Parts: sequence; structure tokens; C-alpha cells
Amino acid sequence: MSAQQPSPDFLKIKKAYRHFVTPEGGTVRALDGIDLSVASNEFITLLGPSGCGKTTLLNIIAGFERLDRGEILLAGASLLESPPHRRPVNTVFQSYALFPHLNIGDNVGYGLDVAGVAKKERNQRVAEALEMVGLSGVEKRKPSQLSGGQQQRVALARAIINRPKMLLLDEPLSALDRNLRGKMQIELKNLQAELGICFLFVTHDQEEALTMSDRIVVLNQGKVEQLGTPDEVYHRPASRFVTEFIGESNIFSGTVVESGGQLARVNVGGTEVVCSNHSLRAGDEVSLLLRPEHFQLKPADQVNGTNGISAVLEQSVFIGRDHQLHCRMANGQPLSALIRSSLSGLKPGQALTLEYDPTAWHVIPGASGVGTAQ
Amino acid sequence: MRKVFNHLLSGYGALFFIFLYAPVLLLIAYSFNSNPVNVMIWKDFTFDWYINLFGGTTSLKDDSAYVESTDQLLAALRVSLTVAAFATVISTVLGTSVAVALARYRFKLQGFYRVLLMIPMVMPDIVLGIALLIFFVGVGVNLGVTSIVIGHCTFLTSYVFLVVSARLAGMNPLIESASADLGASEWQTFRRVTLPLILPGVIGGALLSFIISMDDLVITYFISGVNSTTLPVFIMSMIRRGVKPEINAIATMMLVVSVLIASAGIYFRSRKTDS
Repeated sequence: MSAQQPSPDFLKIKKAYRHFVTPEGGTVRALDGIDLSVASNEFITLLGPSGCGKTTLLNIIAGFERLDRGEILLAGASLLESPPHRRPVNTVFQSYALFPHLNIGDNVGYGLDVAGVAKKERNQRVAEALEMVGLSGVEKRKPSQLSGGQQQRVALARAIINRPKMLLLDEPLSALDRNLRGKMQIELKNLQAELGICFLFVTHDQEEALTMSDRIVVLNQGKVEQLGTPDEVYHRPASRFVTEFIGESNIFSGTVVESGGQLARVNVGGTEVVCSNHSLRAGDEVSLLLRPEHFQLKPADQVNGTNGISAVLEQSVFIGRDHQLHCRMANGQPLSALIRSSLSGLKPGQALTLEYDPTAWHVIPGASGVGTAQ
Repeated sequence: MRKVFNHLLSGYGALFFIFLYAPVLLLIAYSFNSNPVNVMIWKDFTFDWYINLFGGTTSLKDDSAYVESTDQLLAALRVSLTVAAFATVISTVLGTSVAVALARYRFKLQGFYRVLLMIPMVMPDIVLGIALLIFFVGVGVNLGVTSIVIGHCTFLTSYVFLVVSARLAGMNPLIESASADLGASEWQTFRRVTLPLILPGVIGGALLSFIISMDDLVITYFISGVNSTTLPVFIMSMIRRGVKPEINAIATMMLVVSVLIASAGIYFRSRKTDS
């Protein structure tokens, strides 16, 4: 790989709009003014629920769909004028879309064959690509003779053999079983580092996105909800949508009762919660977020005054290292906590006090949580 | 009770196939009957009718056969084969193209075009035959091999379209997207991906067209000229003078050829391409 300086504006999407008219006459805003800059060596993930526009965006970059309005530049040149076969990007499809009538060698070598690359170089590069994805010596087999995981690797080898400037991956791991998926996530990440090119990865699986990405673009109804590193998206979600979509969390709507100094007190349906003061004023509506792993279970007499929430245990589920506690607060709201398994022996109906660190609360202004995080 | 029912069902099945095939088997059997006067009264086993058709000398009396010369029969066969070959090639190319166009591109009145392509298959042959005759006379095309080929293409294209469309419908369109994504132009994609994948359908459609063309009587009857008699039209004119064992022999040979071609067609249509 060349030692080129990675360019931060390698892929530039400017005010991209794409609306579909449904058969019923409604309008689906698949892309509703997307702006995005992606670096040339970045692993970036488009994350969102189905229908959020992530696959549409990928198809537009690949050239399978058109844009209503806006511009997409790759390395400074507009992509939109070129047909799919002239774009320096390659795609790994969700269903792999291998050519069923060609053997693995011909599948992987397809891009070189249509480009008229000489036989000798072609065979060498096919072998290299297959080795890169850890699947040597299967050239003569047909796609139907391979397992799902192997087909996945063939699809990957086929897509990287043209040495694209950017690889588009459309939920490529969704058909694999859980163990294999975890393994492929790491391999994909390593491959991306090895190739040093930009990977644009589409998924609806937040865990996958958090594991692999340099940055995550959370999409909702054709708009960017948040763009940030996995850390930022997880710990400092920009909106209530991101909070609910990424990871499990407790979200409470409340009103600020008192604020002063470092801390603020918020009334959440009758229960008072203490959180960091983000220049809040009494009477402000806020949404409070706390991940289940940030609760601690302490014997009632050791809880430090106000930093605890009383709740009744409804169910305790053992999920490996931790117990997941499903509780209900005094005001009737559900609350979820992750507690180390050593503290077992809890029974449904038991009253608990769950302690928290006031600075662990993530505060989003406004009851609906649509605002920007502070 | 269950057992009795099963026996009855087997019996019914046997009767059904006898109903379907008894006439054909009788035809084959009586093509070896040496009785020249009454075809349905068995006399002796003989190959004479076949030998006679191919111009061999037999013990038959001259007036017992219709075919005055083997040349006549072979001429009709030659016309039939010529027509079938040209009509098959043309309608296979047309039918495949239109199937690909309707399956892969979006345009106005798509559903309507689809219906238009189906209509020739359900249109009564008589109507199509008369329509074609009026058309050819109207535009001044001389009736002959050319007019029959054009006429046959009008409905054979529909059959090829139907068979190839079914094949296309079972194909993942993303495979073509993948080809384009890897740098193949539309033509390269068609040559390297689409065509190989629909080829069983194309060959099946072509064989089907060939048989239907060889077999067509009604439409051809209207649009064939004096010197362009096809085999079915020729046989029809023979039968007008009464049924003789010779016709059984011709029919048996046609049957054998048709079954061979049809088997090949079924083989190609059902062949899987590991999808």
C-alpha cells in the first residue's frame, strides 16, 4: 500500500435527497438532506432501522439508484455521472450474489476477466485475493458447494480484487450464525486495516457497528441523527432515538426541581434523581439516560443518601457474567440494571436500592429528547 | 377399506393413461399392418409402408399407396424443416430479447405489452391464419416459405417469451448488479451472466418452437403457397383421399422425432444451474 496521507474528505456527500412515492401515494424520505464526509482509510458504518435510508445511500454510491438532488464526490470527482461499471467502488451484497454458473476462481476473477487482464496475472491475483480472505484452494468448486461463511469470503475476495478505492458492504454478515459473525467482524476490520481503503458498512445491528467502526452514522428517516465514534454514540447519544436504538438504557423524562453547583435534582414521576448540572434551570424538561451497567446494588443501609433509586425486583435473568434485573420503580416505571452475578439469591418482589454515580447520567434537554446532547 | 381405495385409484390411473395413449399405440401398431384395403383389420406384419415411403421396392400394388413419389414427401419435409429452422432462430432471438427487456427494465405500459405477447397463444388458429392471409395478400407478399416463416414467428415468439420469462423470474437480479459493480458493461453482463443463466430456458423455448412449427397445420394451411406445402399440409391432403397404412407410418416417424426433441426440451428446461 502507498504511504499516502489519508484524505479526510475522500467521500463527500452534499445535501443528498432521495424520495420515493409509495404505491399508496405517500412519500418515503429515504434520504432527506444527508451531508457526510468520509476519510480515505476509514471504517464507517451506516446504522439504522430498516427503512432509514442506509441501503438507499449505499445503492446510490454504487450506482444502482439515482439521487434526486445533491452531489456525491469521490476523491474530488463527481460519482453521479458514471454508470455502475465505471465507478471505482465495489460492493459486497447481503445475499452475496455470487455467479451460480461460474466456479469460485471465475467468480473472484470476474472483475479482472471483464477488464481483460492477462491470464497469468489474473490467476495470481485470484489466488492472492482468496488467500487474503483465508480461503485458498477452492478455485474449482461451485458456489453451491460452499457454506454460507465461505460464500461470504468469496464475495469479499471478488469485491477486493479490482483494488477499489472504497468497499461497500450491505449487511454482509446478517445471514451468518452468531459465532461466525463475531469472527468475521474481526476479520473484516483486519482486512480493512491491511488494505488501507475506506469501508462503508451498512447494518441494522448496533453491536456490529460498535465492534467494527471507526465512526458510526446513525440514520433515521433519511436524516443523520448522530455521527461519531462508537464511544461517543454509545456514551453520549445525541438524541433519544440514538439512545433507544443503541444498547439498552433506562430513559426517564422529568422536570428539573433544583439546580445549583455541580448537581441538579430532577423529578421523574415522583422519584427524585440527582444528576450533573448541565446549566439546567428549575422547571426545565429533560430526558435522563443511564445504561443498566451503571447501577450498583448496595445493601439499603450503605446507600449514600440521595444517590439511590428504590425499586421492586420483578425478574432476575442470568445472562452469563451478569444478572439482568428487571425492576419497577415506586412511580410504576420499569428500570433495568446489570449486576455482577456474585450477588445472586435475589427474589422477585424484593425491594432494592440501586445506587448510581450522578455524573453517569446523560442529560438530553427536552422531554422528547430530540434536542442535541450537552 | 383403505386398501380397496388404493387399488381403485391405481386402476383409475391405468385407465387414464390408456385413454391418453391407446390411440397412439394403435397407430404405431397398424403402421406395420400389411392390409392395404382396411387399415383397422390386422393381416400380417410388414415394413413395406416404411420401405415404400423411402422409395424402396415392395410387393405392394401401385394403387395401394398415395405417395406417388418419395420426392413429393421429401419436398414437403424439406419445406417443413426449412420453415421450422428459420422460424425457430428468429422467434428465439425475438422472444428472448423481449423477455429480457420486460423483466429488467421499467417503462410505460409494461403490463400491457406482456398481455399483447400472450394473446397470439390463445388466439384461435383460424383467426390468425385468415388474418395473416389477408395481410400477406394486402401488402403483396407472395405466399411461400417466407410467408410461412413470418406467420410462424408471430406466435412462436410468444412461446419463447413465456419459457424464457419463467427462467428470468427465477433469477436473482442482484447477480446482474454484481456483474456491473465489478466493471462489466451491459453487453458483457448479458454475455457472461444473464445468457448463461437463462440458456436452458432459451434452448427449451427453441426446441418447443421447432416442434410447434413442424406440427402446425391450420395457420400454415392458409399461408402456404402452391410450391411450399409443409408436411402436415401434405398429410392432410393425403387423408382427404382416405386413410391408408402409409399415413400411419409417416405419423409414427413424426411421433418419434417429436418425442426426441420434446425430451431434449424438457431436459434443458429443467436443468439446474446450481442456483
